[in-house]
Amino acid sequence: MSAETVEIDDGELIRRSAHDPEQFAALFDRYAKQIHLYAARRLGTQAADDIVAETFLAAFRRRGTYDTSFALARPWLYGIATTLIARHRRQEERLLRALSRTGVDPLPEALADTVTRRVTAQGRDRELAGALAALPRGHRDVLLLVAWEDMSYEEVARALDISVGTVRSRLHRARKKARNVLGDEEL
Amino acid sequence: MNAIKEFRRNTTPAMTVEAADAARARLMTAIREPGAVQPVTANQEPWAARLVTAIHGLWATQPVTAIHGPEATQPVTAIHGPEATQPVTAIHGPRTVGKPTATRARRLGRRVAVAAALALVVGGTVVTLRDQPDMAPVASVAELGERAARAAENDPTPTPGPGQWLYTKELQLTGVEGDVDRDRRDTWERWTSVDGKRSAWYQGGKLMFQGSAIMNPTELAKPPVTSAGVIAKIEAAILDEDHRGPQELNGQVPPGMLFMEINQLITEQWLAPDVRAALFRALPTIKGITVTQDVPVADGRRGVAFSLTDAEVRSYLILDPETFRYLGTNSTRLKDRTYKWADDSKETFKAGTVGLTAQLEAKIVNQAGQRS
Repeated sequence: MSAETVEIDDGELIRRSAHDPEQFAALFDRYAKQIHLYAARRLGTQAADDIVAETFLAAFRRRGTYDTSFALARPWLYGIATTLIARHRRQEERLLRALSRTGVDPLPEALADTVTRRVTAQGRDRELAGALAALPRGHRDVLLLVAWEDMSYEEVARALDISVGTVRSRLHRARKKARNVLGDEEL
Repeated sequence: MNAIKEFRRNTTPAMTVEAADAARARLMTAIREPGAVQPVTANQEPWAARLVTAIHGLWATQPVTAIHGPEATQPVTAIHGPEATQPVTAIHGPRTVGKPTATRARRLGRRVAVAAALALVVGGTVVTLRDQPDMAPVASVAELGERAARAAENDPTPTPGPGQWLYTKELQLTGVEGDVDRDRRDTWERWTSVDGKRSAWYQGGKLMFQGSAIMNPTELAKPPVTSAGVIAKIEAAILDEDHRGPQELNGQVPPGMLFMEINQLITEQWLAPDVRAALFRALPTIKGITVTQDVPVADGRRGVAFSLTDAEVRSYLILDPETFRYLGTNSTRLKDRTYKWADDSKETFKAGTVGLTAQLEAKIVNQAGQRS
């Protein structure tokens, strides 16, 4: 979003969309790409295509429950996406274990310039994949929202509908497990 | 956190423009189709079964028992698709002893009205049936029928051999007005033999066959082929089935049922170009059928539609506005209706239930089960 235009915030958009549903489309334009990247990083782009579409459909129909005092809808949308990703938990873990075992990331979409990197995945990534696969899903959700999406504890708590204390404890445990495989200096 | 932050960071491609457009189109469909949102009655059927029965429920203007007749010889799982896990007998119940076997017409009547195959894709190449591209949008249902008929007549696709099969794949969504994707999303693949004698589908990884496809295409192609003639043949088949079965029609085929049957024919059966053209010219002659612009199908595309609204259902058969290629269907139930299935179970479709389909593939293949 460009700095020079004054835009209405997400909460206001959602509030207006109650009477003018088309306003809701602006949320898609703001967040679809980043949510896609997040989902694709966990499950591959094909699953991510569906997850993005379903996230916004679900968000649209639940828009009446959104607390419009929150200016940013990002945690809310990531929460919906994460719930949809959870349906693919076994697939996610299978992909991670395969990477851990073979050093080749089986996420099915390889861009030409990433092939080399893919086939020579570093030992560190292999170990990390194994550690991520072994985490309880809720812990993995917290860890990845913080590490990949730069969310604050409060935002993660809102996204996953858990307390900030739970975010802290899950993150602590997830980091501890990752540290065991990666060594202290990494985390 | 660096190791985690970097994990797959540079190997994950961005969302493609196509994927973004498709997702946005689905959202816009939900946004632009407002309506009363009512829950669909929950039931115990496997979801794929529920999807197709829901679509059937949308289209059928008569109770399903009236259409199906009491003794289904066609496995209901054939309609339900590969995901159905419920035993066939649990759906049909035992066949009534002493009744005549199901006729072609009865099997016709039992079919689920879903997609159509107006433009064939042969050998992976889309056959485009574009007519004059700068023409104005169709102004009347008669014009739509005529232009669709001409596109069918000008289809350069070579006539397939009698041993070949039409493969079709469609996306199906069910939900409620304003959220068509709420309840079910499925793809449905089917093969019907060019000679109309057999159809096939995958169930549990295994290719299943059933005896007959919709109507005998050879019968429909017997000259002279006229719109009135093909309508008469289809009506006769429906009435024959009714006569042998429920006897509820009193010699009159309701327009909604006729619309459904024609839709089924052009959806899943290969037809000679003149038969297909005759069906298109026949649609505007059916009482109540009108033209509607800009109707969405299940994958977000929009087109021009033959539409029919009766007391129970509003349904659309949607074509590409430029090429008149078949896109899909869109139906909304307007009145609650409870169907009684052959095993005496009941299912209620609420007013506001919506079913959308989109044809994703239609091509001639050499054997059932092949996709190219």
